[in-house]
Amino acid sequence: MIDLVWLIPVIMAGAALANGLGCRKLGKIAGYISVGAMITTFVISCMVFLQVRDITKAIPHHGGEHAAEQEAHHGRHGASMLAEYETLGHEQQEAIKAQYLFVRADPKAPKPYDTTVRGGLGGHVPLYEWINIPGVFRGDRPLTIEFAFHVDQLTSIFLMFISFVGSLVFIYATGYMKEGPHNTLDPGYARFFSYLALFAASMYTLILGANFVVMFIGWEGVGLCSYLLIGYYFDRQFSAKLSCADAGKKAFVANRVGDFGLMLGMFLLFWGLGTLDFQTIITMLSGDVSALPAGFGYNGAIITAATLLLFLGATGKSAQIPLFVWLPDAMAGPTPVSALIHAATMVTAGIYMLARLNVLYMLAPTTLVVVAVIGGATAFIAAFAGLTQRGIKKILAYSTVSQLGYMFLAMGVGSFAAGIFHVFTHAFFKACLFLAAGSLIHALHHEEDVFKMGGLAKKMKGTAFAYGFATLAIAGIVPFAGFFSKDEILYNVYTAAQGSNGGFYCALWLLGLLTALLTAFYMGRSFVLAFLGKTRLQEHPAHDAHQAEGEDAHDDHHHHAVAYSEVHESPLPIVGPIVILGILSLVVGWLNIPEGLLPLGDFNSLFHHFLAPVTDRGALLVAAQQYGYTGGAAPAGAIVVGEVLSNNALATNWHGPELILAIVSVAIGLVGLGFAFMLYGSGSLAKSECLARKPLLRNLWNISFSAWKWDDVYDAIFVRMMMTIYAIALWFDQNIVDGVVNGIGLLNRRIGIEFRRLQNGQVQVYGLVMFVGVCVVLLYFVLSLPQALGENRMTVTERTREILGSKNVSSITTKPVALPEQPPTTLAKH
Amino acid sequence: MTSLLQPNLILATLLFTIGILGVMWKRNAIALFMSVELMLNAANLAFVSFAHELGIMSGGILVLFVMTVAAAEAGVGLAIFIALFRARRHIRVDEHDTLHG
Repeated sequence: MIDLVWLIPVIMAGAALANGLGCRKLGKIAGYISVGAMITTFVISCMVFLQVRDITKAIPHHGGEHAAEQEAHHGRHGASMLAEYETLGHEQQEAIKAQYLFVRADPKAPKPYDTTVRGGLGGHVPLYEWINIPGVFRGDRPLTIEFAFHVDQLTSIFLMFISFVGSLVFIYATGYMKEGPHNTLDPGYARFFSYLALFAASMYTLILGANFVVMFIGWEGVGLCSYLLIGYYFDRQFSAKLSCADAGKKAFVANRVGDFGLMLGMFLLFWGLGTLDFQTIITMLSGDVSALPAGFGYNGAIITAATLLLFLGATGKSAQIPLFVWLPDAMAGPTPVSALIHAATMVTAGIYMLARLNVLYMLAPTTLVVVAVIGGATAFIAAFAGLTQRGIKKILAYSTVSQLGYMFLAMGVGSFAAGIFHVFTHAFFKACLFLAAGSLIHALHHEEDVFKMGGLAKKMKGTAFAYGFATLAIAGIVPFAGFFSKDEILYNVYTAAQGSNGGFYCALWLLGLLTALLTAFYMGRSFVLAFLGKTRLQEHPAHDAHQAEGEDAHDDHHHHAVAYSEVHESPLPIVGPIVILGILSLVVGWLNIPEGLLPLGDFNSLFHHFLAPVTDRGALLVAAQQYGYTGGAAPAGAIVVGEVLSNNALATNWHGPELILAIVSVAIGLVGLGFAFMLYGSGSLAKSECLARKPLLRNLWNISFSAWKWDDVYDAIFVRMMMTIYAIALWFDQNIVDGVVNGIGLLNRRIGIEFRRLQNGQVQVYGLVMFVGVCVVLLYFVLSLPQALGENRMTVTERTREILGSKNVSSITTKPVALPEQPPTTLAKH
Repeated sequence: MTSLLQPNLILATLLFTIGILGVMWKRNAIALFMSVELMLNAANLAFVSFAHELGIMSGGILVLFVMTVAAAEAGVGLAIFIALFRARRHIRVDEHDTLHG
């Protein structure tokens, strides 16, 4: 099945094409096409996943190494492992090396798929050679880029949750993209599903790409679809300042800034290493250190610069600090889009890239510090901005930014698997939250303000149940999914704080805890305000409400205040996916229960064990290098220590702090939720308004509500600066460029106007001009005649004679022209 | 026998000059035409003079060609003038200037 993985993006692209071409004629069928395609890809993804899992399991264990590995997983110390390793025979040692240092002999060797998935290299699915430019770069190095996909554990996990969440969101969208009392389809129904399918195709390409260039196609493709879908309601106003189309442009431009960094990073890596293939790069970097170009060693200048630039790309796509401003406005798109693209999948692309390149990032500790700081700061800043928002989707948007910050924080402390696990759980509970919010918005006819909701749990039980589960999950309450993933991140940050630079990481950890508190509060707030307490909706419909609704059923962006008694639970295609996701928000966390919390034997840290061959490569390599591994024959200690470190990350022998930390984080979550309940539980806003009147809180409220005035600062600096530049460019274009072009045109016109007078229609004047012209030409010939006649100064007659070839022309001038000397006889007789 | 070349050429030049001046100044199309014929014949005279002087036939033959062309030209030209006259009731060339720029 791995060989057929290319079917996944192709099927989605086909669905996009079919919907795009069929357009309005398709009607409802458009939805079925996309949903069908998505479910098909889910099935294929499952098969791919199972195969990857089987291959991972099927790696044979090597004799004594088997025991050593088992021991390692159960927390033996490095010293005893080392001793054991040294007692092994040479072959067994080599086998261990091959397994843990993942050195593939020839990265370019053609293999349909590589059974060393265990080694993290995975299945390489080459489709065709896409670009081949023979040696012109850096001497004679060819630029060869094959259009290839790559399947390993990381890819298969992403395939699984993207296709699964995607399928649910697609099903949901078939219910959501209907309006009014008669369930009329949205006018852009087919367009919407075409974009969604195109998005899925791009996202699959992104995660399947075996090299930077193929990934970049997907990267840009999802950016394009994001733009198209944010601006889906292109004729509507999103906020006072922005139309939906503007919001799309904002997202696109912010991503361009990031992509600029991404491309520079790619160029830098190609410049240095001569390849853009992920596995080749990783193999080169984990190979012989002395063979690497300068600046690519541990903490090398070029690798640091490249990873920083790539991280800039990630901050654009994954909405991190300098570039997160687009995500809150991306909520202008329809809610399924927010759930799928701007919460579950696309925004995790940056995290995916970092995990994919974890070897690079582990070799660039400076970058990792930046990643951690940006991640932690974003998590906090966004969570703080989420505290006071009123639009339910805005709250969720800031929450997404904040959770993405957590993921980067995890990456920044080198625990890539923890970051990916949070991506995984977040995909479920955040998609659930968004879809539930969409269900509310749908039921309330596009009312997004949580202050105008309340008490909806009684009316919309399924939605409320799912939203509640997801809220508990994101707040990190045990045993919901978010607890396990967030706790693992915080735990890893805490672990980092035990090493060097402890104070720095400790600060990050505290920031993470504070963020967890804020997260619990604002999520609890949104849940309580929307679902609990006394409703703030009108109790009963006003008289003309129905009429108005009937009149502009399709003009749905006008808010009709829906009365409380009119609110219904959304139809099955909407509620079904929400409830499924709600249940999964509870369950998926159990895939990665750390042993420190609950010893379950083989079921502990399943997720991490599965991903470890990919995501722990960097950590292993760095650890091995610290113990003297340079790519050649590895010293024994390097391997064993690498293995021990990798297991240390799984926290097998350090139960105490993990349990305490878990209790602390759950307590913090409960405090946040409890505070939200206290403040808003009654359904009245009086308490919060009272609090907001206090001067200090008032200021904080302002900062939060305006999202730290980030947009205003960007407006003041970048937008204004760009506007000035544009004004100058416009002036230059209109005056200098256009001046030159128009000037040339005007000049010709002027000349034409003058010269047309010559053509006066008088034949005789033309004749005169021609005569004069002929005279001039003649004069020229006459004047140049002496030269033409040669040095002996013949007369014209003489020259003519010479040309005629007769030496004695003058003698025959008076005679008749000479006849042939012997005329034909017949003539003579005649 | 003295060569007639020089007087003939002088005569041809005179004829040609008269023709040119006629083409320039005459307003009547017929007169213009006659001037053109004058120029052609001046050229013919020059041709035959040289041909006689050099004792070759090509000059004389060329004259025949010129006369043929001149006859054809006269035919076409006169037809045009008649058509023009029918359309405009006059053939003063200076007043037919509708093709001016």
